[in-house]
Amino acid sequence: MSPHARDWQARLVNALLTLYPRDFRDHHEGMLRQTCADVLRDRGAGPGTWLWLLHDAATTSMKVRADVRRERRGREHTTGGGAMKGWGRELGFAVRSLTRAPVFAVVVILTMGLGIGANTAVFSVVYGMLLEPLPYDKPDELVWIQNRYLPRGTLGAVSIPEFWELRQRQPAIEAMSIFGSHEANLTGLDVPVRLEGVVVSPGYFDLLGRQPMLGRAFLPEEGERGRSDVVILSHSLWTTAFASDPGVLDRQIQLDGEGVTVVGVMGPEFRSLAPFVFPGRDPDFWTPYPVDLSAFSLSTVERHNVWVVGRLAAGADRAGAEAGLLEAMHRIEEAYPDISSAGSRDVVAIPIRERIAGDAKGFLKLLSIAVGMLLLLTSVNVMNMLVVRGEARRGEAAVRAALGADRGRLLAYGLSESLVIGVAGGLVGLVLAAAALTALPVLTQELALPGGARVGGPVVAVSFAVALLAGLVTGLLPAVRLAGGDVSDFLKASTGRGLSGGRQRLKSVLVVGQIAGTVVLVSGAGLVLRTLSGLEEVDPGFTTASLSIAEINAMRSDYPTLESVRALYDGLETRMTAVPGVESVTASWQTPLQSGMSDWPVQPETAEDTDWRGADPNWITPSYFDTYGIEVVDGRVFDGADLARDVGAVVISESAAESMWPGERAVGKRVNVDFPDPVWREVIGVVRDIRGRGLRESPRLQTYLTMAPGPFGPNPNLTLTVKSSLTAVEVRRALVEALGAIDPNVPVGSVTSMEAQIDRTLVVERLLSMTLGFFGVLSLLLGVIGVYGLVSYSVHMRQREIGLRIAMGAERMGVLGLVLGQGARLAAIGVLLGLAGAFYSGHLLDSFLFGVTSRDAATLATVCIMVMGVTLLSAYLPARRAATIDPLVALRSE
Amino acid sequence: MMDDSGQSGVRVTPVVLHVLLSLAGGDAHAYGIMKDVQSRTGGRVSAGPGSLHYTLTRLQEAGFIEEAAGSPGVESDARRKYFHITASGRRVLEAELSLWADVIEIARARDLIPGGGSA
Repeated sequence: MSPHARDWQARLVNALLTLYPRDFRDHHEGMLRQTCADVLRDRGAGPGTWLWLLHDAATTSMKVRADVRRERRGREHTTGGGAMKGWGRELGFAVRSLTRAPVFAVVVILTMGLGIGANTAVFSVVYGMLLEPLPYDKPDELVWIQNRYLPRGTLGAVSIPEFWELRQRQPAIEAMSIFGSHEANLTGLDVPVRLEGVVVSPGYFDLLGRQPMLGRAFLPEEGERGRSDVVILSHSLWTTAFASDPGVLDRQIQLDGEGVTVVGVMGPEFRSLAPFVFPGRDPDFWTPYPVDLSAFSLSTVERHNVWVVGRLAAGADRAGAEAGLLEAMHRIEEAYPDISSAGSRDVVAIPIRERIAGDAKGFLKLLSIAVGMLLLLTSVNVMNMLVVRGEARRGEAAVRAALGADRGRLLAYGLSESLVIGVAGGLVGLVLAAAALTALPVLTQELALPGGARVGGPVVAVSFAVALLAGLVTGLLPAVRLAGGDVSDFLKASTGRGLSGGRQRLKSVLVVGQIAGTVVLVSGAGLVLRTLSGLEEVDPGFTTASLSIAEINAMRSDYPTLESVRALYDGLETRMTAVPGVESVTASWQTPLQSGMSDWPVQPETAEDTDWRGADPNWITPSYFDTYGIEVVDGRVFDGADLARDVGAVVISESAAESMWPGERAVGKRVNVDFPDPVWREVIGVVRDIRGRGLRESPRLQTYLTMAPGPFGPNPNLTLTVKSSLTAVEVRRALVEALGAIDPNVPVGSVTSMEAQIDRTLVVERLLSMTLGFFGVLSLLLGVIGVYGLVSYSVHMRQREIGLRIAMGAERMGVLGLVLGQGARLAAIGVLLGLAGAFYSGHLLDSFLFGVTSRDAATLATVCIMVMGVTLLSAYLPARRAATIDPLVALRSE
Repeated sequence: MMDDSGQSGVRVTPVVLHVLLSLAGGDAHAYGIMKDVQSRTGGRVSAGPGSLHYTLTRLQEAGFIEEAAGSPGVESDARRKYFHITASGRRVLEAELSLWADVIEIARARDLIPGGGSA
């Protein structure tokens, strides 16, 4: 027989074997194969033989399956399988009995679903942020290397010469790469596009353990000799700008007017490191960093403009890596003894994961506690409903017990329903969580989740476990009550003669717990709401309405001189001012509330005090103060004449004036903002302070310069602020048109409104107040239902007693008070406990609050009164019913 | 073990009978049994590999046959499993055969066997 035929035969035999149940096949595979081979050898592998074998396999497998079924059935009647079967029957029974009470079923399952859903949503965020492995090779070895400035421990970027030195002789660090932000204009296509890019060391992709989908990664020689004429494209840029054309490889594209060759395209699954460390920024391209060793000098050593990512060597730890880095830093300080930060800093190697989660940890912790509490509350509520329902099932339990069901069986009977509720609630929760995550993309965007927040495998598993646990816990108490006690007790109870004290007490405890939890959640929401309104009332020192902010990204190579830059922006301002609806236009280097304001110290020219003071700088055109409505306090602001001067004048903020010349007039004095050689500029005006770095931050010292030659040289990348009645979209359209007439090669970057920019700074507060508020209202609702249910139940049970009282001459008002008092007692205890809880847990909120402390009496009092009031209201309805009981009817009802 | 036969779950089908019959003549492996049964019945009773191994498993579980400990001689083949009929298997076979013998006796007396063949 040819090897081919044998192969073919083996495959057919394999196919035959798949007909058998797995167990049988596993046991007999070898022998079956052997026998089949024997048969085929002796009888010949004709169709007749094959048919016979097929018939044999089919009939035998049916026999085997029938045996297995028979055996299973037999086993269930006798041994351990019986318990499982019993559970199965109980669960089936529970499902059926729940479908017979659809309202109850829907309410409990939804309640459970809400609790589990909230937890699932938050856990999927926590998982994405803190637990999910980063999508790189051995991600735990990746570290983020930064300067740390003592004594405050501020972290900062690294300079290129520092990186160069840090990289030498590091046994504990296997590889290091520069990581810097680099924006560029892509031209040569239909419209110019502004791109986000990342400059990296050539070994960057190897360091992450990821390679391009097309082409290659950077070669070691690329970038290290001051050459960076190659680029790797992101998958999204490749698809959008280059129509997924594989021919883009080796082609030249124009980045900032320079021709660079495309050497690779990353795959769609590659996740850049950038958004993890710079939220919201996903690069379009990577390019090697041109390191020019000959250009190293004190000034380049001091230019801290790149980040560094490294991979720890196998077996190395963070401490060892940091020791080696510190040594390198000392070598740098020896080489450049004049370095300003000498001796006042060290170097840290922070695991990437920590760097990512750092900012959001507090927020996530708070959110986790809130949803945990919510789950507790929903579970308590479900438990409550189950206890009440348990009363209804006691009759049946008693009958079962009388018929000889043992305690285990009764427990299963009691638990089965809550397990079904838990699982169904878990499913509802998963759906709710998935919906919440799609409805709240802000969660994933603003928190910079490495893998995005998805309701995926591990999250589902955890939620399911939580659902089962919740089902078990909520069902256990009612089930034990159902299974415990003796039969006569059951039978007595089932005649409906009243509610035993113990059960009543349990339900009261549950309701009190719910009210307390409500107070904690609602007061948290109240505090954050007060923070929000406080922040909205903060006077930022400038007008925020009707402002659109547009980034203009001209290329330095096209605008090499100050004159050319001025001409560009003069032209833009003129054209934009002419657009109908536009009030004023200004160009500036920074805009208030923009992230990434840089610190630019200022120094006064006085005999006794020449200390540098930290300040925020800005380079502006004369219309800036007008456009932003920043009030001039003293002196004047810039005019055309200032622009023409070689050494421009300076305008400073009130607090800057107060800091440098306390009690004196600042106008006419001189300051220096240049480093290392001083340039003394005259202060021509003082303007009001602005909160440039965020509404929470107190105003910083501020200096304004004209776009005169500064330490930066001419910078054509400015921001245009347009004060108008137009929307951001309309402003964008006008800008594109205006730029088209001036220079069609300049792309318009993002255009947003100042209001949107402010909103962005309030995202966490909004999210927090929303979630806490939602959970608070939800738990209040649950509490109200709980109190209502409890009070009306007890009214129902005490009908006879109340009727008797009324018959004996009790005042209806007295009856009303009696029942209301029951609700009031529960509410009061719950509110007091909740108040204590809010007091104790308030510090968790501290870092989110503004203008209000976590123990703000007014907020807490309002919440307490509100919760108390609502609770009483829910007790009022059954109380009124009690007061209107007709004694005749009540007494006859027995 | 005799009492087991009633509850062993093994229905004495023609295949079972022939397997036991075959093993009563000496230890054999599965394919050997198959060939033996086929040749003795002229192909009228034929068990495929699946049916055969299924039957062997059931008989083993019932304790009627067991895996042979040693090699049965020249025909031995190390790769194969040899089977051996146990004492209880033999008793079941004998009980069954004597039952059949009675049946055949009666059938023959009444001339019910097609072709009137004699044993």
